[in-house]
Amino acid sequence: MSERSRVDSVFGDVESFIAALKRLRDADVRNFTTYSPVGLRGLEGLMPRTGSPIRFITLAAGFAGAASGFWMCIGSALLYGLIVGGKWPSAYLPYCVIGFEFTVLVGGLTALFAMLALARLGPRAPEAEYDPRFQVDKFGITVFCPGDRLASMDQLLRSAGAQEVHEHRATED
Amino acid sequence: MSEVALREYNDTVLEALFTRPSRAYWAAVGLLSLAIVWGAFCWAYQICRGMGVAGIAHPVGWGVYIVNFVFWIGIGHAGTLISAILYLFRVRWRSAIYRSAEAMTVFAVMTAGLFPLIHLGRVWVFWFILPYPNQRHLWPNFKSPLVWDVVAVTTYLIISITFWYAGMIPDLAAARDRATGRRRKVYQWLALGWSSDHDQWRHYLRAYMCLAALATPLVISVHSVVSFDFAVSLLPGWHTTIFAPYFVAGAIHSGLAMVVILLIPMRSLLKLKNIIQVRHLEQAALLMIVTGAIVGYTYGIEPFIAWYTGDVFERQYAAWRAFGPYAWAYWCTILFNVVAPTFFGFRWARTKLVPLFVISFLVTIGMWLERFVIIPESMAHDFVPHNWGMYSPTWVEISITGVSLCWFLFWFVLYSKHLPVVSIAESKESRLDEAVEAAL
Repeated sequence: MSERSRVDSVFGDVESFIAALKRLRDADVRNFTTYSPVGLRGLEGLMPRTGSPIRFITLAAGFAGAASGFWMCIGSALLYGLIVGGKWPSAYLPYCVIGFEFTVLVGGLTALFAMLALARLGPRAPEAEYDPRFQVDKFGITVFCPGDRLASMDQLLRSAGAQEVHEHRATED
Repeated sequence: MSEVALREYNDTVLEALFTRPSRAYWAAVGLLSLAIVWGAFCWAYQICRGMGVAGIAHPVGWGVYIVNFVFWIGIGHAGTLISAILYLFRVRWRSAIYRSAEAMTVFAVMTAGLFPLIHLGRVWVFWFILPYPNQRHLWPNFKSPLVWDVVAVTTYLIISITFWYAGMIPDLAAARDRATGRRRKVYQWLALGWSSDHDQWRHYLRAYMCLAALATPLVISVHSVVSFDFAVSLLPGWHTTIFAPYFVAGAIHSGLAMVVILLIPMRSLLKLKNIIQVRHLEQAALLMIVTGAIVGYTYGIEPFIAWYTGDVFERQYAAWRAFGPYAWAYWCTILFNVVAPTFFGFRWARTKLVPLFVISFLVTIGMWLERFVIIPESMAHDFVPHNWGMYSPTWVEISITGVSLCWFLFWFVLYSKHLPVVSIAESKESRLDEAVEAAL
């Protein structure tokens, strides 16, 4: 990522940060990422990528968990398939408890690991564009663009109220 | 809260983390460690001498170890209520206290998990109840409530830790950025390269929502499953269909009380008074009025059902519980759990720290007594008069019970100096909501 030409900007408040996002949308610029100390909601229309498949992954994992819970209970009961007192060896109502718990267990762990995989999180240092101030009270926008558009992006971000703007030109540009 | 600047959240919460611990802190850690050593000795003594050193004997097979198990599982419930259920409802006041409430859940469930092992006697065979493939094709009986319990409590512990850790990732990154040396390496490893970029946030918020949605029914189910340990039996005092909501309401009641007990000293010692404010504790107190009312309703329903069904065994047991040798425990339960929280109806009682602490303390004691009333007392007075008996805990049981509190506090004290005790990111989010709406 650091080899691409980019413009890094820092905003001191959320209002100018959102104003910059609106200008980027109006200019039809989609190749950018943002940094913020909090997870901001309601900005879906301004962001280049929205949503996450984690809901569906978790749902599928929950179903798989429920199935595995019932499978374990029924399978272990059928290992000794002796019919005693006219009753079938497996009893489905008590197995609902195990099925439910496995739904939550497998679904929850899968949600965590899906998040780690999709957000590319792992035991390592943050990426080069990261500024520790984004963890405190600053907001950031990094726009990736060809070298000949760096100046116009710089101007756009400054006019929206960026406190700092830094251009990084890739060597191939 | 609006007067707190964004930077101040980092400064205040992380200062508590990076200030050198005082001598009093290390003294507390030392004393709690000594208590844990004493508890380990008592457990070892019980293992060597056998279960005879505990007071459990015919007809009371489940004594204070099982009382403690149910009590500590219950303590954990407010953490999940505050963190998951209030998150789904977007209740803003949770952000200041949910991290510590979640920590309380994790440590309480860790404590609870010890008691079935202690009660087991031969602890080295505990793995017999775990489902694992083996050459003899022996599996636990999944129709048994005791096996449901193992699965439910294990799931609860794992999901609570997952939810707690997931919520902490952005704050661990803030700690990483401020730390130096070896601590920085640890926080960097725990923060998983978090850089607060948009892609991380969008996946993170979705995953957190899914975890909250899964934890919400889980918290209801866990104590329901614990109540099934008793309710599916035929014993008077246990065999009742109201037990699941009864246990869940009681669990949240005691958990909220424990949250207040822990947060009152913590906010002073860690200088977090401007973030964990009295109004947050007041909200917990207001919730306790509700849970106290539910618990009071269930206390009333039990003797009513005993009378209404006309069942002679239920009637004699209800009368014995209220007027027998353990009547003090029964009436203290009602006094502490139902009457005491009604004082939170007065504004002074829920906005002054002393009455908040005292009433919460009484509720905690009352909830332990409630479990004592339910568990050993029911076994002591069942269907057959010649099977009746009495139960009183021995010094080993009393020691292990007391040490369980020290074990719980030990972990909480360590947590308070090594991990962010307030969610920095979510506190800021509550602060920025209006500004974002206006800017859009």
